[in-house]
Amino acid sequence: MKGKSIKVVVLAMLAVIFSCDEPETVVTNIIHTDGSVTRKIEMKSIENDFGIQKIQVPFDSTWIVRDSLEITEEGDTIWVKRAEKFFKNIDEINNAYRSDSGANRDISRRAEFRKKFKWFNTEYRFAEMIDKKLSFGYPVTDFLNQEELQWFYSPENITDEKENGPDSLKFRALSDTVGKKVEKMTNKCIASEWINEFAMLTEGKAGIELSPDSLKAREDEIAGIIEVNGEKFDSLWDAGVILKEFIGETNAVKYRAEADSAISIAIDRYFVDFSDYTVRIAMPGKLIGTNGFLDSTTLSLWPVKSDYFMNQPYEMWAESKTPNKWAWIVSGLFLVFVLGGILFRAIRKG
Amino acid sequence: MNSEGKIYDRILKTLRKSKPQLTGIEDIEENVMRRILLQEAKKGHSQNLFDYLFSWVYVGWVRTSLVAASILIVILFGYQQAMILKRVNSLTEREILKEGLMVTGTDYEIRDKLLLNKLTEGKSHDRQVKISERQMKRLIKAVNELQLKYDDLMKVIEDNPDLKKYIDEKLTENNRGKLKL
Repeated sequence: MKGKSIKVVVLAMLAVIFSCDEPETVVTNIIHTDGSVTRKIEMKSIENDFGIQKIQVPFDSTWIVRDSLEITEEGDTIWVKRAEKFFKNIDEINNAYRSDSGANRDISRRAEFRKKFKWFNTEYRFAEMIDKKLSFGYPVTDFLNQEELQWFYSPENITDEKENGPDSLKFRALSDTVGKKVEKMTNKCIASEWINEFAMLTEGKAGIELSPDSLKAREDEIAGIIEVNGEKFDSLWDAGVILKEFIGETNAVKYRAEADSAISIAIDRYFVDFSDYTVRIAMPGKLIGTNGFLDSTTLSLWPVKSDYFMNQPYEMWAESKTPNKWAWIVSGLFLVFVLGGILFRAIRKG
Repeated sequence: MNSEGKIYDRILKTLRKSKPQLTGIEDIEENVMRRILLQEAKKGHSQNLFDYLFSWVYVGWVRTSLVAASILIVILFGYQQAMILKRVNSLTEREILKEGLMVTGTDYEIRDKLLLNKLTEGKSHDRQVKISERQMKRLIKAVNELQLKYDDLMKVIEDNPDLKKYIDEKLTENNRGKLKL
């Protein structure tokens, strides 16, 4: 466990170091009616260092790239790398995700495109999905209400603006509440992961008190122990104090190795290496639905953070429609024809 | 009555009794009918076209089917439009992010913006500026020229290591100065 603790600390430090170094990235998917996608990546950094391993989305030498040095509104100099690539279809994007060696290579991502003919209109749906990381976690909807969920999924510039604008007290209180609830969720998810992994590792060896059902019944209690000992968790775990509270002194000694492995798996799954970025989608025709935010150009936009896909898949979708003008004309002519026939019959009868 | 008068009456009676014998009655009838039809055709040529076009109105099941299909089309259209309107209305109630994520500057970016503008049908929520196509062309031309000069400058800098080093130092100093502030 000592090794684990060091690993966690080093990982956290590396995450901090690299987060300063990573470019601020916006990925724009311009969807075409035939399912092809023009993908644009825009990266900003204070240094001209855009190594593939630092980039949040799949990127390679096949992209058309333009580097420039620009001055921000604040007068700072920043390096901007813009890259563009045309993907013939969604499969090409998914292949790029599968072979990604970038900053978020450990995350399973995929895209989906659907086209539905609905006579008067053709509807398009494009989605980018990130698979969940935890096997036994709980969805965030179990912990947050609608208003809190809205806050949780909001981009930072929106939350920052609200926290510093009118009604700042209300929004700061909301931010605190969400923070506390997310922490509670984290503890419960880690407890759940540990319980299930530990139960699998001790299956057939341990007594009834360590069966999955017995441990599951104590899940809230175990999550509470993690919460109370949060700051000193590593040292208390190393000392065996927490494990004793989890499963009792005798079992703690007997199943120490299994418990260490289980906590290692749970922590590895939860504290994944991930670099945040932003996804934008420009749909063909008129946008009719999205679960994202809208930016000033009415494109759908989503912040992508690791918290979003821990316990449940994170799906960013947008739907649009284009009118089938020929279908409108055909339908109109048909209606005129039928109506004309009815009128003709009435005149002849009269 | 004199004898001349008697002769006249007799001739008249004889003539009245002897009716004319018509040959080819059918031909005459056909001729008359054709002339009548020709006159009718001249009057209502269009009426015949309508008769042909709307002959289905006299067939009950065809009439019912076509009317039912028309009603279905109207219902489908109304339903689809209502659903789209409802969804678009719910989108307009969404919060709009004020901060633009696009970086301004090069022609490349302007092309992006034009493309996005086209895609979004020009619905930009902040700082709407309308310029003519001529002005836009001039703007793009100017930016392209600037971009070429920028590329030349970058090439000169890249080719001269001393100059590159000097500029890097100056930029670092500049950024450091900003940070100190």
